[in-house]
This record gives sequence, structure tokens and C-alpha cells, in this order.
Amino acid sequence: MPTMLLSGRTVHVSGDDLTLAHGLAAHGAELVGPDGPVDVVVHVVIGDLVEVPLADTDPDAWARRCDRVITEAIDAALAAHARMVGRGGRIVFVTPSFGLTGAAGLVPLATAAEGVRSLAKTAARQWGADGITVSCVARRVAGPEVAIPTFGPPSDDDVANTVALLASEHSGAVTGATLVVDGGTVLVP
Amino acid sequence: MSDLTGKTILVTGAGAGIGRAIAVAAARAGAVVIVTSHHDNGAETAELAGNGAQWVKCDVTARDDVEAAFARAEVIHGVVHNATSRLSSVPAKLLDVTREQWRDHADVSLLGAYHCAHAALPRLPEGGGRFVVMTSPAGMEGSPMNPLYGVVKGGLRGFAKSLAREWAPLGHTVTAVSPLAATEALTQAFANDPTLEGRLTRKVPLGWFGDPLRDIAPPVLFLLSDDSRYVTGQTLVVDGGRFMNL
Repeated sequence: MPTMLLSGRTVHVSGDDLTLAHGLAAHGAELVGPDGPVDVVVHVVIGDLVEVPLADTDPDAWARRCDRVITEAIDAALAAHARMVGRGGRIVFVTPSFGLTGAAGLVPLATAAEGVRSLAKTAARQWGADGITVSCVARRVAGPEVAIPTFGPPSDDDVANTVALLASEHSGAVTGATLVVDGGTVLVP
Repeated sequence: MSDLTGKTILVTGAGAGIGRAIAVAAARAGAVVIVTSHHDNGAETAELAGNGAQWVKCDVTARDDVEAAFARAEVIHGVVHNATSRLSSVPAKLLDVTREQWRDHADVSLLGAYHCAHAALPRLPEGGGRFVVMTSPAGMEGSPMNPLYGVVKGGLRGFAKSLAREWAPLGHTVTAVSPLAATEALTQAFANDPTLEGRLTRKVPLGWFGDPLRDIAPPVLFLLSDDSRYVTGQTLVVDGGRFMNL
């Protein structure tokens, strides 16, 4: 039985990431919908993982695979802030870790992923005074990464447990940070 | 200074500031420079640069404009994507940003990078093209002043790393440069916030803001030269030691 990091905390998970939602519920989170006050908002950066060279990417595909992914994250951050006014809270973005490592064929989504990480840092700076922390979990996505994880690929539980930590009261001074959950592939400097 | 003799270099956003400095320095290093800018000040940059530099009026958000600028040369050895939204020096709160502001930031920095990469690839020399994007400290540590600027500059680092991997089998390199320079944009930011200059200077270990021509351009020329053929996917931070977190 995992530690109940999120007992008594309301959590909204964007999109349809039921696996992550269940993982957070296992930590005691009360899953809530997109309206009303909330303690934690988790926004999962979702994009097309089909590898296409940039030269074969048309402007519509760029808009869909890069621009829209970032604007969805901005909208999610603003919506989260509105739900946390006067009470504080935690926002966690889940991004693909190939934004950090680079991935051929995935330039638009990698661009978006790094844009979202930068968004988290800026939001962390501007919203710290509101009692809101904003952090990222960069998770290894099967496929594009070139290096072999030193600790084996992460499981869904590994990702959920790390999100739960950042969403909990046990990561008080952590904001604007990225925790990389990839089994030791990236090892950021 | 790195030698760029015989090379053709295209610089976007070269009408003023760092872009102008890079264009002028590249010409002094021997390159023929295609100066692109949205405003007419690019003509003056081309004149300052000399060595056959030509100005092309170019809105990097418009694919046809970008294609027309790149069509000025059969082979383009190196590209510097420096163009940035004119909103980048205007302080903003994340809570107040509009979709129109996003369009401007994203289209100039990100869509512009995409258009430039698209137009550049067929013209880069076999086994040795150079593509440099100008990023910013805001892209690495977030921006307390300008959220959308931070987002797109961070995005450009992701762009550079992934395109570096994609083009590596072709021998082309893709890099990013994060400068801290005394530009007109920074001067404007200081005017908007009188305490900013003192606060920022204290954070620079070397104690001054880089001069675009003397301090920022030379490392960019290195990344455009043959000497940097084994450097790709990296962000070169040229900021007097302000950011040492890597």
C-alpha cells in the first residue's frame, strides 16, 4: 500500500488519462471535474507520437502538433489558477522527456514540451505569491529515446507516484522544477 | 574571430540589436549575408555589413516571404533565426495574456523557426549546414516579466535539440544561443522598470551586459563556422556568467 500522499486533497486530471487518475486516487486523491475550487491540477501534455521529418511537416501539422499543445497547456494553467485563487494549490504538467533529450521526427511536439516546461517556470515565478506551485514531471515515452534506461523503463505507477509527490504537501519548496521519470535515461546536468 | 569566407549566411530579425550585430560581424568575417527584417531598418544593416550583403524584407510568419528570402542564394551555409515578437520587451502577467499576444510570440519565434528550417534544408551545403536559433535566459529559467516570451524561447531549445538529432545524419548542426546583451529591447525594459538595471547587473558575475557586436556575435560566428562541426543540439549561454545552472 503506497503512502497516502494525497489524502483529503482534491485533484483534477486533464484529458482522459485514466491510468494517471487511478494512480493518484491510490494515493488518496479525491478526483474532481473541471469546475470549482481544487487543490491540485495535473495537465498531461498529449501529442501525436508519429515520427515525421520536419521537411515533411506542413503548416497545419505544425499548428496541430506544436502550437495547439502549448495553448492547451496555457489554458489549463489559467483555468487552474482561477480555481486556486485565495487558497493556493499545485499545478503539475506531465511532459514527454524527449523534449529534454531531443527526438528526430518529433520536432513539433518536442518544441511544445520544452515550451510547456518554460511555461511552468514562468508560472512558478509569477504565481508563487498566490501560494501556487507549478512543476513538471518529464516521463519517458516508449519509442523515440535513444539511450537505454539504467534502471529499466518507468511504470505507470512510477509516473503517478512522482506526480503525487509534487501534488502533495511533501514538496513544499519545490516549484518551477522538472522531475525526470525515465529510469535514468536523461540524467540532466 | 571565426572565418566565414566564402559562406552565405542568412539572419532573420537583423534590422536592429543582436540580429544586426550578427549580420555585421558575419560580413566582417567574410560571409555574404542575407539580411532579413520585417521593417525597413534591414536596409541599413546590409549597408553597415557590406561585403555584398543584401536586405530582403521578410515577415518570418509568412511562408512565402521566408521562401523568397532563402531563394536569394542557391547555397546557404548558415542560418540564424533571431526574429522575435516586438511584444517581447513589454512586461506582462500570465493571467492577462491574450490569444492575440500568443499568436504574435509563437508565430515569429516558433512558426518562423519552422519556416526557416523548411526553406533552409534544400539549400544547406552537403554535410555541413549550420542552423542557429536565438533563445534567452527566459527560455531556461522562466521569465518573471514576460511569460509568452519565456514559453517560445524555451520551445526553441526543444526545437534545436530535436532538429539537431533529425539533421545529424546529414551532417548539419542545430544549436541555440542564449545571450544577455545591452540591446534596445533591454534599454526599453529598463525604461519601463527603473530598478531593473541595478537588479540585473548585480546578477551578472562579470558585471556588465554584453555588447552585441563584441560579446554576442563572435560565439554565434563560431557556431556558424567549420570549427563547430562537432557541436550540435547545445545551448551556448553568452551572458557574463549569469546562468550557471546546467
